[in-house]
Amino acid sequence: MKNEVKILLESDLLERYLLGDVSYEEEVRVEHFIDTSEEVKVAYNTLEEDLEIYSKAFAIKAPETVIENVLESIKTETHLAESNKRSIPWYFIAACVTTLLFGATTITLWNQNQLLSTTNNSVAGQIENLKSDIINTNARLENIKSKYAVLSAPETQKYLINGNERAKNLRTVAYVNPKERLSAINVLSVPELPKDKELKMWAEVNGEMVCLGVIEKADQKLMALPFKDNASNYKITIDSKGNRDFALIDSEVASIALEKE
Amino acid sequence: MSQLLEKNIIDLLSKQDEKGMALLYDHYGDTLFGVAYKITKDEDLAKDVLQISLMKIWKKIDTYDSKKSKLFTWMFRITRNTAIDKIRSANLKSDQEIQIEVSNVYNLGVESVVPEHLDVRKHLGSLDEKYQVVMEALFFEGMTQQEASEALDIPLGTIKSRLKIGLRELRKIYDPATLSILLILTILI
Repeated sequence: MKNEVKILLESDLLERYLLGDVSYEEEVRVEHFIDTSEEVKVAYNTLEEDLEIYSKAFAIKAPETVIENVLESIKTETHLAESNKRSIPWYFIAACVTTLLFGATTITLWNQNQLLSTTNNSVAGQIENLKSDIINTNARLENIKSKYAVLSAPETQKYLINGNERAKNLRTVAYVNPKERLSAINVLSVPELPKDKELKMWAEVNGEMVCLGVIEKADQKLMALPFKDNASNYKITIDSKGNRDFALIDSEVASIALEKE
Repeated sequence: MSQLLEKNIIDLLSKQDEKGMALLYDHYGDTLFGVAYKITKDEDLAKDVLQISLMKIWKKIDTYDSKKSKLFTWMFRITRNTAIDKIRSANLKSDQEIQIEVSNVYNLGVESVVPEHLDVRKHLGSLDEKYQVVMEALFFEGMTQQEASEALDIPLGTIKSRLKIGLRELRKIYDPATLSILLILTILI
C-alpha cells in the first residue's frame, strides 16, 4: 500500500485529478487512495488550496456585465420554466392522460363486449341446433326402439316374401303386429329394374288392392308400412312409375297370405 | 474562503436561488475571470468563458460533490475546460494568433487587477521564472506533466519538483499566518 501511495504521489495523477484531466479508471483509483490514505488526502487538500492561491494571483476585476447577463439568463430560464408549468398544469396533464386512458379502455372493453356478444349468439345458436338435433335423434331413437320393441313382441307375425321367376333377387321380410296395429318391411335385396318401373307393396283388403308404398332399393333398413285392418294378402308388383290405383295381375312378382288373428 | 460561505453558496445554488450566484460572483468572480483571461488571453473571450462557465455552474450544481473537491476546484475545472475548448476551436485559431502578440502588452491595465491579490501577484512575479513557466503550463495551458516536460525540454522529475517548490513558495507568501507575522515584524521594526 505504501509503495502504491509513493508511486501515486510521484506520478502526476493527483495533479491531473485536481484539474479533471483523468480517465474514469484513474478517477476511481485516485478517489480510492484519497479515501484510504491520509497521506494522499493531505496531499490532495494541499493541492486544492495551492490551486486557489495560485489562481487568485491572476484575479482580475470581473466585469459587471457578465453577472448581469448571467442573472438575466437565469431569470429568463426560470420564467420560461414557470410559464411552462403555468401553461400546462400538472393536473391538466393528469386529466388528459386519465381521459385518454378512460377512452382507450372504454373502446377496448366495448370491442371485447361486441366480440363476446357475437360469440355468445353463435354459441346460443349452436346450442339450439344441438338441442333440436338431440330432440330429433331422441324421437328417432324412440321410434326405432318402439319399432324394434313391436317387432320383437311375441304377437308379431313375420313373413318372408321372395320374388318369383321375374324377380329372383327380391327378398323381403314383412312384420305385422295386429295388436299394436303396426307393420313394417325389411328389404334385403331387390332386382335390377328398367328406369320406368318400380316395386310397389300392396295389401289385399276385402278383395281390393290397396297400395302401401314403393319399395326402395334394398339397404337393409326397416321401412314402416301403413297398417291395414282385414288385410288378407301382401303383394309386391313391378309396374310403371306413378300408378298407385290398381295392381295388374301380370305385374305381381311376390305374394303371401297373412295369418288370421 | 471560509467553509461556511462556501456551504452557503452551494445551498443557495442548489435551491436555484439567484442570491447564490450573486454571492459566488462576489467571492469567486474575479479569480475565475482571471483564470479565463489567463488561458484565452482575450478580454471579450474571457467574458464569454466566464458567462458560459457560470451558467454551467448554475445548471450543474446538483452534480457537485463536496466530498470530492472544494467548490473552487470544481469551478476552476469548469472554467479552465470551457476556456480551453474556446481557444481550441478552429474558428478562433487565427484570432488567437493575433491575440498572442497583443497579450504580451497585457492590455487590461493595473487598475483592473484586484487590489487584495496584488501582493500575491507581486510575489508571484518575484518567483523564479522557471517555476512560473512550469505552473502556467500545467494549470493554464492544459498540459500534463509529461507534455510540459516535452514542451519545455525539462526532465519529468524536474517538472514535478519545480511545481512543488513553486506552490510551496507561493503558499509561504499567501498563507494568512505568514502574512500576519510579516505585518507584526514590519510594525515592530
